[in-house]
Amino acid sequence: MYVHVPFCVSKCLYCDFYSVVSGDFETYFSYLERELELYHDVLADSKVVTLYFGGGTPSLVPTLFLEKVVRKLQTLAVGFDPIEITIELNPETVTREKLREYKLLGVNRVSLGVQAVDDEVLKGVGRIYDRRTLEKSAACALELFENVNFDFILGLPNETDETVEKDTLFLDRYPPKHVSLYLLEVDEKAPLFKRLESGNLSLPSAEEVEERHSRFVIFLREKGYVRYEISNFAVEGWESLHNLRYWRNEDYLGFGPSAGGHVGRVRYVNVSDLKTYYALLDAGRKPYEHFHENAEREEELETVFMGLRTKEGVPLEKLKSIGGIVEKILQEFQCCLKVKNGKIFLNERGMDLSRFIFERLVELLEEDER
Amino acid sequence: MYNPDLIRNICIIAHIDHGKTTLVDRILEITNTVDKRKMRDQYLDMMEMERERGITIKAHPVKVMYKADDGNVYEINIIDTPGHVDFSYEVGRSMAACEGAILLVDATQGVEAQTVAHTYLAIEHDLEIIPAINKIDLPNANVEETALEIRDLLGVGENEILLVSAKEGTGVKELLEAVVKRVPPPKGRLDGKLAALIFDAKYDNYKGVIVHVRIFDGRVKPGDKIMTFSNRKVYEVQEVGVFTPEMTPVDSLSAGEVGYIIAGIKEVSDAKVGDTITSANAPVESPLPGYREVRPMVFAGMFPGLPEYYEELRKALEKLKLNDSALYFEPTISPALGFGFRCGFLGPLHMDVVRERIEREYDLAVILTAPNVRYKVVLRNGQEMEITDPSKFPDDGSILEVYEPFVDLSIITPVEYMGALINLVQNEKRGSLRATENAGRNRIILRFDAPLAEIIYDFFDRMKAVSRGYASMDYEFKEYRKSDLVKVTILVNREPVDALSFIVHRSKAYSVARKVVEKLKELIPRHQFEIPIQAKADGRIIARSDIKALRKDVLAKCYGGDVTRKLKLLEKQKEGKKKLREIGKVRIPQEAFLALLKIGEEEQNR
Ligand SMILES: Nc1nc2c(ncn2[C@@H]2O[C@H](COP(=O)(O)OP(=O)(O)OP(=O)(O)O)[C@@H](O)[C@H]2O)c(=O)[nH]1
Ligand code: SF4
Ligand SMILES: [Mg+2]
Repeated sequence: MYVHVPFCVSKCLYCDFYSVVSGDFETYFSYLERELELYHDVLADSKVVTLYFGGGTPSLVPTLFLEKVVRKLQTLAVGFDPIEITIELNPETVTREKLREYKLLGVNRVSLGVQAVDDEVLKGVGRIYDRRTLEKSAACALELFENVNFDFILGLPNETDETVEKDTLFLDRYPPKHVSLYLLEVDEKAPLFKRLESGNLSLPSAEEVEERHSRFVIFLREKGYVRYEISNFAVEGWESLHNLRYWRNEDYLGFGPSAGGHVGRVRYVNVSDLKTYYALLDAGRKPYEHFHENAEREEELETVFMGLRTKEGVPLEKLKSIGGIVEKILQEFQCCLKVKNGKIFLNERGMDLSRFIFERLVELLEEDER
Repeated sequence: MYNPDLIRNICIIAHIDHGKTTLVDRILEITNTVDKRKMRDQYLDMMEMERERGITIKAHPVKVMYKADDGNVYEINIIDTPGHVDFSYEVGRSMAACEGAILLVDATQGVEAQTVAHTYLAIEHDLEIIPAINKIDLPNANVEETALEIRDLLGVGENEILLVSAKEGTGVKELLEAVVKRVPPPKGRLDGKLAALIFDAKYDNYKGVIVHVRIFDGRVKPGDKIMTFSNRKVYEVQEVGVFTPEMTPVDSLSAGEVGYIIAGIKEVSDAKVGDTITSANAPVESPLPGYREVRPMVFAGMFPGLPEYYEELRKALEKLKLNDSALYFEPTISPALGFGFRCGFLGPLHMDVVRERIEREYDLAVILTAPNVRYKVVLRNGQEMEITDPSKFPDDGSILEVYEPFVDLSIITPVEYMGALINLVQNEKRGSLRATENAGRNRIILRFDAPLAEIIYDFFDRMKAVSRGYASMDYEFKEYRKSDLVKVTILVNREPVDALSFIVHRSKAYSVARKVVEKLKELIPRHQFEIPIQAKADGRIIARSDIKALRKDVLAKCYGGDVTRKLKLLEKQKEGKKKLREIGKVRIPQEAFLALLKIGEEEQNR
């Protein structure tokens, strides 16, 4: 289960998540409870295995509000006994106090948005902490939690080989059990897009970033992390159970603006704007803007699209209705796609060309439909 | 009441930006032609593109009623013309419908190249020229100097030159008085046989072809049977009208007037600009003097963005040609791009405008190849051929001689930039100085012979740069000259791409080839494999650059709430890639075909 907390201290330039800088927490969480209530029937007979507070910056709001969410879930979901509760932290909001409170609340996994270690890189994209704050928060997280993830982004403005080396040195000093390594994607709506267009900022060249990504991946492997998903690396046994549910295309509910859920073959995505979110709830309606019951093929496309992201891959038996297409793409990408024990998966090379392969997959499906 | 003595037909001519369209604004106001609430700046620049670029592309007629000091109300038909060199042809055509011209000169710029060129045109057409100095409201207006330059040009007396501010309206009334007094009324005879000159036309989806005419003799009204002289086709008139400036129906159009005729002409090719419309029952024996056939100066391939839109592109070009008779096109086929058209244009801006109009008005994406001029080749076997498509340039071995077009290039500039300009034309552009003439006190006209091919590539911008914006130019085809030219073929992934080949003077082959391959490297996206880009001339590779293989194309992030959005995004990206043309496994974007043009721009920005 996912709970979105759409508040941030300030907006990062590359951000394409829904979050606002100022907001009334009280109001937001009371509406969130109303959304939870609207799902009481679904919740009543589901087992909540994982809970994830994402954002935005969940660590920005007083723990009290998160606690209310947990209490509410306990009353609504009979089988509420999650084995993993994660919360996302941004360095500028981390205090020892807060982390203690999270522990008391039952949180057993924290994910720290590091993104980069070098001050110039951080400043370049509007992250509002410096390296010292970052180190303090990292040390604190590792001290209080065993299951910790650090997020990194490669390809940011001002990035050089040296700044990336600082990232890996940082991981040497503060080794978490889990690392997410992303490549910058600039959404047209992100403020960074305009800055790049106007030439005010520039990105490192694609070739440089590829090189750094390769080095970073090798570094992580040497440190004992396993690349169990395209962008996620974990010490064996410390994978994110919550995210694995997404990639295995299992059922989950998402609450809050821009959150999405998948129940059976139904997929929904909530409106990503607080005003409409409130208005819909005022009207007693579930606040989604997209609601769609997948046909079998659509469902299987999603299953393969998500499942191929992981090292374990997708059991072919789950892809019967699009078997012909899977066969074709296997043929076309023999270098990247493999089958073992009845499961289809991407090798490292395939993970690196994932966008290209997925695009082809979508294309094949469309051709097939005609 | 029809009284030809109270009709005046004039056009407004000037160098680009000297204020023609703004002057018409004031005239529309003084004569209450346009409702005040609807008035906006440069009212006649109605095309979206004209408004965006702030220039007039199409000549536009308008009829106004002016109450003169003598107490009479005059019908004045005004044609606002474009000032850019590429559209000079529009100016000449408009003049055939007029008896007079207002020559406007910007007081801050003085006489410039098209001031001179259009003045000569007006003299050729025997028009009464009324010179006026514009923008006198500006603090840096130099009325005295400008007046001197005009006197040098026209040989008129000081007192014949009017002073106006088209922006503030000063002197506009006096200008209209001068028009009424100095321009002769039209000479036509109302009782003569109908003779109307088609000076423009456009296509309307509902009404078919709308022809813009100047009636020289006779009268035309709805119900009349008319005939186009050249092909003797007969139509029944459905509507006649005038431009106010919107099309407004009237009962009839009579000798001396300017207006439009709608007569159910469906075939675009049946209404040729320059043709004469006459009465089907009582036709004239000979047509009005038409227009000189325009010879396009630059050529480029135009291909549909997607091959299946070929037919639509053909229709769009046909309709556009009606409204832009200088456009030339013929079908062609390119191994790389498939079916398309070889188009001829009057100049680089004309080419750009046509592309944009096709994209906007007909909603078609097109691929344009880099422009080139028309070459003449004499083969060893004695055969002569004209080449407008570099990919059709014969093999080196079979060529005896090649000729390229030279133009008569005139540049008007303040004296201090003379050195820099001569240097530019002679040392960079293979031209030679033929003569210099004084123009006013500290201006000079430089006359060069220069290869047209050099003028169409970034010459204009370079000229503006070395003269800080003060120089202006005009050119006219002069003659073909023998030249040492070589064809450069571009190979992408070891396959020649015909649409990228170009012809260049041998002395420049290496440097241009190197820049082109570098530019292509920037413009073609990386693929999963390495792509060599090579330039070949005389059977040898003369430049090369490699596009490194794309080793990573990672869809880095996807979680629960994202699935739908990410899948949509993939679809969009895939659609985007469809717009690229795949040639020998390599997807090439539209802009790449204009690489040759882009290298010029780049040097500019440095
Ligand atoms: N200050 C001042 N500006 C003027 C005057 N007349 C025109 N302008 C400005 O000069 C610019 C060009 O005016 P236009 O009327 O578009 O010139 P044009 O001659 O029609 O230009 P083309 O049709 O492109 O050849 C505009 O920005 C006008 O506002 C004037 O009398 N005074
Ligand atoms: S912290 Fe995260 S959600 Fe907030 S603005 Fe930055 S990137 Fe966006
Ligand atoms: Mg104009």
